[in-house]
Amino acid sequence: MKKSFLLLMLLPFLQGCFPKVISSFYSREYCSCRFIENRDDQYCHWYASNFIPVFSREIDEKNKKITSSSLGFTTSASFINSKVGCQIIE
Amino acid sequence: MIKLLISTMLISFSVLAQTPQYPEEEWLTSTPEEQGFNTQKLDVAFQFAFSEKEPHRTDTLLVIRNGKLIKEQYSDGAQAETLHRIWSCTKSFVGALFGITINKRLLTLDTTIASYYPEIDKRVTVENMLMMSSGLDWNEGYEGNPLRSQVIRMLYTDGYKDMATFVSRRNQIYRPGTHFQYSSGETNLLMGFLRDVVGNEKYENYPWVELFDPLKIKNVTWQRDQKGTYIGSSYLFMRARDFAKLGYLYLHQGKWKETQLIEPDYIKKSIQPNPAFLNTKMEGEWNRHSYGMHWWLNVDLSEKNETRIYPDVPNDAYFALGHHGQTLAVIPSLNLIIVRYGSDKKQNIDRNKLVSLITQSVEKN
Repeated sequence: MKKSFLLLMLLPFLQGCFPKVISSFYSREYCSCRFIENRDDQYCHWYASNFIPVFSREIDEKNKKITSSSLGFTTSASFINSKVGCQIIE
Repeated sequence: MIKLLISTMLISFSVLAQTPQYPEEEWLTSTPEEQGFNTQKLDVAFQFAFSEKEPHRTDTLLVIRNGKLIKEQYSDGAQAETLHRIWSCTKSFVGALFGITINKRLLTLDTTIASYYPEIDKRVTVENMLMMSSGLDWNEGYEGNPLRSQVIRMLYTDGYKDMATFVSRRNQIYRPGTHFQYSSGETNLLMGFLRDVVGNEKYENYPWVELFDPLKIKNVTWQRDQKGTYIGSSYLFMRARDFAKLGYLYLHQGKWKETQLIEPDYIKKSIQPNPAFLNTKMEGEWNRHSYGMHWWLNVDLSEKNETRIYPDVPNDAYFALGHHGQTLAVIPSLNLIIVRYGSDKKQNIDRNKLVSLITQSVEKN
């Protein structure tokens, strides 16, 4: 919790695209967990979450696509096929 | 005549007894007792692995001895058919693919990377990269050090579209082959390089044609970046039973049934401490965590005045290790392979304890 608070305080001063990592990580890892490993939503949400939470997420089960947002960045990851698995798509 | 017949039969039986029994799609099975285990001791190892009182979170544990699957357990939503992420254990598959490619005479350990990535120092070889000693600047930190981490930038932000190119632009800070720096970047650069070596068309199915199909690994996912490069550092998903086959291939010196997929010399080099690692003073326990070519080792390091990282595990053991506690352990002296999957977000499993509980439960050959 302390670590999370400190990072949130530091974020306005951070350069580069570090904040994007939260949504990128969540989307890629949730997609892999849910659509490759076939784990349930609760487990995958826990697995893909880090000390900075995603503030919103949208899961398209039919098209196997996940979009998540955090710290002003939005990232999607999509399941391509069983050989290639998931890719960050935007 | 009868004597000759009997002696021929005895020789045949003896050869059969020494010939390893390779798995097809599935492993042959046996009981722990038949393969020399003390069942009660082995049960203790499994209880430790799956205990909810421990800080780790195991979901898969599988033990193979003498080519036979003797015990496996799954929990936490994982099953035998689950394609589980193996994180950095993927690197050992990359090591195998390079062994195969060298065996096919498409390159050598001395081939330089700059032939396809001109930004790279002209002295950097395939061997340097397999030994994590290219000399490229790299910080391999995950949750513990996200702000300075190049691996996070490569996988999720600046570099995710073309990871090999992202890595090739890192600064050269050490002479190649002199300094060990564990780097997911080097593995991804190797996988980009491999595409250039074998050509785009063959690269598409290369891991399947050359490695997964011969080992009858049918169901596997290997993620790629947007350029189509296999993410060799981290993103292979497979069943524990199939992961164990990589261990069996190395256990048998690169031979699978009648086919020598990888030369024994390459295997030997893969599982002995590399010169750069021996030359590099690492921080804390990393100084004892010896490395070959895309495999972790458990040797005593007289050169560094250090004992091995897992003191209760035989010193011939070698490992594919991954984030959150993923583990493949190969112990040749016991003809033993262990696969452990988990999601240790708090603290990785005590590998010395887990593996030694299993090795110490072997009581007969």
